[in-house]
Amino acid sequence: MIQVANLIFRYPNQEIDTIKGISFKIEKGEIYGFLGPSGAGKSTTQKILIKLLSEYKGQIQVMGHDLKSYNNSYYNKIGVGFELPNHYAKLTGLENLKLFASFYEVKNVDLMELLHKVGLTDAAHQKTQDYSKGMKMRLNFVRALLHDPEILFFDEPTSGLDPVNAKNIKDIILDLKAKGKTIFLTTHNMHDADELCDRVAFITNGQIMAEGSPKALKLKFGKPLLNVEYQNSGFHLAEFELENLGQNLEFRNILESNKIISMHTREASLDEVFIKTTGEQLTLTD
Amino acid sequence: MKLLIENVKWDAYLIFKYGIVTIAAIITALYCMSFIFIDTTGLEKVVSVLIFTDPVMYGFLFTSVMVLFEKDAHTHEVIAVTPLPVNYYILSKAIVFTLLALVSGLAIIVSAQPAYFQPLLLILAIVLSASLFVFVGIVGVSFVQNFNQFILIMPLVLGPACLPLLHYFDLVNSWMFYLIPTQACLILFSASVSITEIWQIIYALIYLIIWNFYAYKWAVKSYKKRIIKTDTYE
Repeated sequence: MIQVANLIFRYPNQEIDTIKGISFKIEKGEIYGFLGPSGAGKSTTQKILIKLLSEYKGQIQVMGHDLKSYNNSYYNKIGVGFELPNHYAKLTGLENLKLFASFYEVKNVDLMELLHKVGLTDAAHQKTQDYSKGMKMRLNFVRALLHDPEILFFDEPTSGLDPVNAKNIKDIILDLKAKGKTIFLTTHNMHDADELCDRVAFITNGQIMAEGSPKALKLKFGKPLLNVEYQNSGFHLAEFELENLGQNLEFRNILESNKIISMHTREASLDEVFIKTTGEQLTLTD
Repeated sequence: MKLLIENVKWDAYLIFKYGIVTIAAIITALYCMSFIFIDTTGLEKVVSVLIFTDPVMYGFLFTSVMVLFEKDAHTHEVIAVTPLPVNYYILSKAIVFTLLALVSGLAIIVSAQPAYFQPLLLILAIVLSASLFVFVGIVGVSFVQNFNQFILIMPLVLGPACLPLLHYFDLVNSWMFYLIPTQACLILFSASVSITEIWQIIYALIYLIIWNFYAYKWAVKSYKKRIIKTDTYE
């Protein structure tokens, strides 16, 4: 669905490339996560893919055509969910959707149904200036869907949402995937990426440092661990690698000489894999 | 074209929601009431200047305010990823504010009841002046982030724009005023309520059309470069 080959981009008046020859491929119906700290090149790559930046080098094919060959009708095929709320404050939630819907070819989408999906039915006729941040974010999300696009770009779709609404948004994303939509997800949130993405790419300094399914990356770069909590004149916690655990003398000693409180296996997290592959810490405040 | 019409409809609704229509109606009503109680015979120059200030205000000030509202709400980045072309966005603003200026200008002229009146010239004067100042307003507002910064740049535009008034009221005489597009605006407004030499009308029409064309191109480029921040401006 999206094929990027040796993409290079440099902003005007800058001396170094922001994107340094990255390549990746996203299949139809796939959720692809683009993870990296601020300034890594995530937003620039997304801006290129949504045709806000076009002075790039390299090849980009979207839906079988060169990205540069598309005119504005390209936006009938893609939907973009932004990280920050961006609505007409004096218009209601429903009016905001109607305004943007009027620019698209697909006209028969039930806007109230879309608002219902994200729990905004009761706020449909309320001005968005009176919405909470979470409500604005839900409206942002649902606006990307109003023309039933084939490809969706979401930037931090669960940012500013409470756990219940965040779960609902993630469920909708998975539902969209089930309907064959292709999703490009930009996020700092490794937990979301782990839960949603079929594949992820770690980008730092304009280069993709690792790419693959979260599971495969964790297996490749992380080590499964066993956490042991035991009691011996106080509570203690020890961590052991699962590999050759039976031969680990310290582990055997703990088992023989202490009261075991609990034992849990723990997979390496995507955060740990990210740090290992990129050498950088990824935080929500990046 | 369908997208342009849709955008014009929404822009008209938005200027109503932002209260711009109400403000314009109040200003127009004040002008109209003044003319109802004042005999405008011999005051044709004053009448034309007052009608001229309307399109300038609608075009420049209100467009800038509206774009600043949109900047503040970050809606430009969403519009940029819809099928609506940038030139339609710009033209829509020009159409809406020109229509507003037309309604206001015609109401003022009707209440002024000038002895001599050329409606076609008045319409051309309002359309060409209002659209020009919409385009200049978009260029101006692309350089600023908020209303405070906008207030600072306003004199840079309105100062030179008002210089031809010196010539218009016979205070200073120089051919150089003809280089300033508002000189052409004033000539057209004046021609709608008083007899004017034909060469002046032709100059004003051609000069304003040329200025509109380049100001429109400049507005599109400024909008792309500084408001939605793309890297291709043509």
